[in-house]
Amino acid sequence: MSTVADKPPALAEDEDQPGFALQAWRRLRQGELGPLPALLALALIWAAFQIANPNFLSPRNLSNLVSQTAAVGTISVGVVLVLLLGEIDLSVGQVSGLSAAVMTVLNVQHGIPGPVAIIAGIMTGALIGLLQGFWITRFGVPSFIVTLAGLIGWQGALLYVLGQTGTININDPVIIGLTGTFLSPVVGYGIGVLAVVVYAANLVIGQRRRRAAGLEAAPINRLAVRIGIVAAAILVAIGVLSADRGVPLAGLILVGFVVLFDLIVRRTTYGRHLFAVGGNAEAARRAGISVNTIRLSVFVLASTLAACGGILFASRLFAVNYSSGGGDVLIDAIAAAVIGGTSLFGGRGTVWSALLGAFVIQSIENGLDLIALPSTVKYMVTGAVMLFAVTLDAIARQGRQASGRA
Amino acid sequence: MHKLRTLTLVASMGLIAVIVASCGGSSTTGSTGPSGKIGLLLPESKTARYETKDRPLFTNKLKALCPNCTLLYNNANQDSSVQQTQAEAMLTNGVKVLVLDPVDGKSAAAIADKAKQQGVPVVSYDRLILNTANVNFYISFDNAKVGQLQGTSLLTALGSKTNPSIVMINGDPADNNAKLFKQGAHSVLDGKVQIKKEYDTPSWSPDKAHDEMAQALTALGNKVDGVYAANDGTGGGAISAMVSAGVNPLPPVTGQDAELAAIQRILAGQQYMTVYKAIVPEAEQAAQLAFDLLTSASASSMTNGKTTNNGTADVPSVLLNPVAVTKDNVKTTVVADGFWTKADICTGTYVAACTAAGIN
Amino acid sequence: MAVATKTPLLTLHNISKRFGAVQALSGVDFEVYPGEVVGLVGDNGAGKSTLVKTIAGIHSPDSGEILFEGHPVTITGPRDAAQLGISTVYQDLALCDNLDVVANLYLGRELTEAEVLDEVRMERRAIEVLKGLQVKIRIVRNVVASLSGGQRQSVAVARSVMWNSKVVLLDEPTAALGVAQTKQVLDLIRRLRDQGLGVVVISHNLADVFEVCDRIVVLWLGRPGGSFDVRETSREKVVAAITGAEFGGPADAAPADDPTAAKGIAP
Repeated sequence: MSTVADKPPALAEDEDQPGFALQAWRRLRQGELGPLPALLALALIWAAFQIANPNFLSPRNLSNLVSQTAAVGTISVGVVLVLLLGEIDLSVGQVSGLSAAVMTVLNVQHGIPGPVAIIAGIMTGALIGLLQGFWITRFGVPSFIVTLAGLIGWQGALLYVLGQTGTININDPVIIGLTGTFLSPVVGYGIGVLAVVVYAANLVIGQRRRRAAGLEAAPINRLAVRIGIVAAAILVAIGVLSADRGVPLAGLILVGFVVLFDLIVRRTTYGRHLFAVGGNAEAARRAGISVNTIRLSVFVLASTLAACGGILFASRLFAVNYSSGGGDVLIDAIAAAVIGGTSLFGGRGTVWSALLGAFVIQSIENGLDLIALPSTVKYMVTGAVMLFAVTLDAIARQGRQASGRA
Repeated sequence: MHKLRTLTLVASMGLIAVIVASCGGSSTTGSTGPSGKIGLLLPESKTARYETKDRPLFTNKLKALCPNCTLLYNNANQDSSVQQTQAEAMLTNGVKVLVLDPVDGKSAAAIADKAKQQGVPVVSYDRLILNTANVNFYISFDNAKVGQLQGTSLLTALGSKTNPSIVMINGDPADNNAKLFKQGAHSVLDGKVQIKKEYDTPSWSPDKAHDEMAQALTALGNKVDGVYAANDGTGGGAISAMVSAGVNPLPPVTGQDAELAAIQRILAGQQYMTVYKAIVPEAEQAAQLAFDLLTSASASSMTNGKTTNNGTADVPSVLLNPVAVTKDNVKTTVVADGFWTKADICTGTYVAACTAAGIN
Repeated sequence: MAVATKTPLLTLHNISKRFGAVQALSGVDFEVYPGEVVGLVGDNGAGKSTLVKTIAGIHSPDSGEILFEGHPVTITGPRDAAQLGISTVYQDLALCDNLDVVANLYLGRELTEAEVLDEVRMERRAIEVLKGLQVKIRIVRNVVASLSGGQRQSVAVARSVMWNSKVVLLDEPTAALGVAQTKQVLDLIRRLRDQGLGVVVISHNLADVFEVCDRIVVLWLGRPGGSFDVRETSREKVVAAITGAEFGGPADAAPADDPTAAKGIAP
């Protein structure tokens, strides 16, 4: 911070220029845990299951894990957006089921081509989001209530759309291909290398610009370390997945959504306004931000992403049925966001928490199925892990309050 | 504010119109014959059969037997306390016979006892009401037999394989019938096959079944000779998991319920069998039982002296036989009964399979 | 200060405002010159808040006229006020605690390049603005929640003046601050004056008002209670004006207007 360093008499609350490690430690102590609890939980879970069953960290199982995570993770991305706003969407599970049902009925019973049916399914989600968002913003009904009504109502719509037959099989190659396609190693590594190059270029150019503008910028060796870690993570992941059937397209779709919405949230005016509304809606309104437009759009996005997740579920099961989108889908999606470190109280969190949290939850279910424990244990373990992660978040919040940050 | 009030008004008027219209349908006509109210309580709406098969079949049969009778209907959506409330409402409305498919067999005993106090006979429909003497009839399929049927079929499909490995995907651990299916299957399979992995599937969720099967395949390195799936939904989940994992050819997979999707999978060679429980006789005979109780209140001849012990009493029972359906007898069972028509089954990619199975 | 030779930035003439049975303002005159700090004081319910909200465009007056730089204007909403160059910092500051200092300074007016936030340009300008006002915040990327009360006030003020403001209204800027932080904010107010802005400070704290203001305008039960040059008046005279003693009213006259106003927030 050399730019403001005209050395005024230091005030009591001014922090000394902290070193990198010191800054990190201080952030931890003040409760800015970020993704740390989730990463820790993930490491513990993986270690425990690997000990219990040596197949857990096999390429085949990790490939399964990625495919299993895709649908819930995608839905959870939308949940993160809603949580950032300080709202809730309880209808995402049913919306995912209904959208997938619309897609399937159009494709199977009306002979609409797969890609068109997929788009129609996604549009169904968007329309539902528009309706719910309109209701919330126009009439000022709390989102909890509107989406709770949605949770019940869209279930009815799902039953109606599926009609008398109950379960409908999907045979369309495009729809099934969403989760049934695995990228060849060449394509997989190509995408991985491209991602690393773009990431590195972005970091380096950003750093150059900051330096040129006379702003504090990370030293080049720290950038190199970051790029190295990301490159290693990406390439190892691709290597492991390629040792099985290749990178699952579904996993790529999830990561694509996460990256896209992460960029939107962090790098665009829209994302900035989203955080502002979640942090202090009145302040946002006074700053001239159309709070209702932001709210409405976020509910549209959440339902649209729910629809995408529902389509991935259907693609994986080759079918939709009356229980599509029911059961644990909603709870998993919300838990994923929270375990990943997104606050339930609005304004804090990252889109990546959807991915991370979904991995944690799915790892538990995956591992427990692998050792075929009874569902009694499964539910209790899942509950305990969620409680653990959210408790860390709550303790962190206390830390923030103690240090005057919340 | 004003707009909101108008909106509420319009919404309430719409609601009233719907209620009036639905009441209008059940008004009695002036002709002679027996009359009275009969209550039908079904447990849930997520499984296709209750709303699309049981209810209309029961309604039509009752109308044929007794044009002046009124049917009161309600669905508990898988909530036993909701069902209790619905039953109390029906008793208050003066039903003469209660046909009850309990969400939970044990807690439904309270409903049966209450009905008895008011002199209303109770038919336990499809699922058994447990631990009460106040059940007049029980009509269902022999559920332990369902599991045996599935197990026997699977053994047939496995043929001469020595010591085959199978995966068992059972139903909802909270469902009493699921327990019976599981016991029945074990009684046939144990000792003849190696059960490598076994799962209970909460809520009968096909997605969960998919995950369970995927994990079993990982643990077993894709080496599976057969899959016991308790119903068609979980069977579908297991099949999609095997296709994703690249298992080829697919091993035999069992099922139950004769869902349309399962029939189509059977014709396409993906699923080996399903258990067809002919809902038509079940619903129609339940209507007959209800009508008998309404008119004479005496024991029906339909039971043939059979009883089922519910923990407290031996309940006179009508037990129907489940049928195993494979590719070979789809035509002579579900199609012949009109359970599913050719138009239902033979759509899109299934036309060729239909022709091959002689459905045309 | 040779204010008399200049045109006032903002002139309010004979402003009246009635809410139902309550006459909140009657015949109030008010003016601010460039490079002048005016203290607006009065007891609870004296009409300070109503006057500020009239200037900020939240209320429109029933009668009277408003001149901006000598030209008559009508301010019908906060947007009009902002376009003229009038900005208001309310007591609640309206900052987003979860966003960093730069994001708060640019909230609603983000700089972008090809639809992407131009963080470098914003951060650089933010540092310049804060430096120009001598606001000491070392890490502009820290979230506002981590700042002290004085720093938060400074950020709120900086945000309101960095968009070509000519007049800035500060509502109780030192209300919840300690001694060091109060000094920090008063210094900031002086710097705004030095940059040629007209500053209106609403405050209960006469010590602060006497320390930073050039002129003090008193409201008493919605009526003009006098305008005092700080160099030529004493605290006793101002207190007398606030309590109405100068007008022969009872010293402890209950505020007649706006009886529902909460203490501290109300004018």
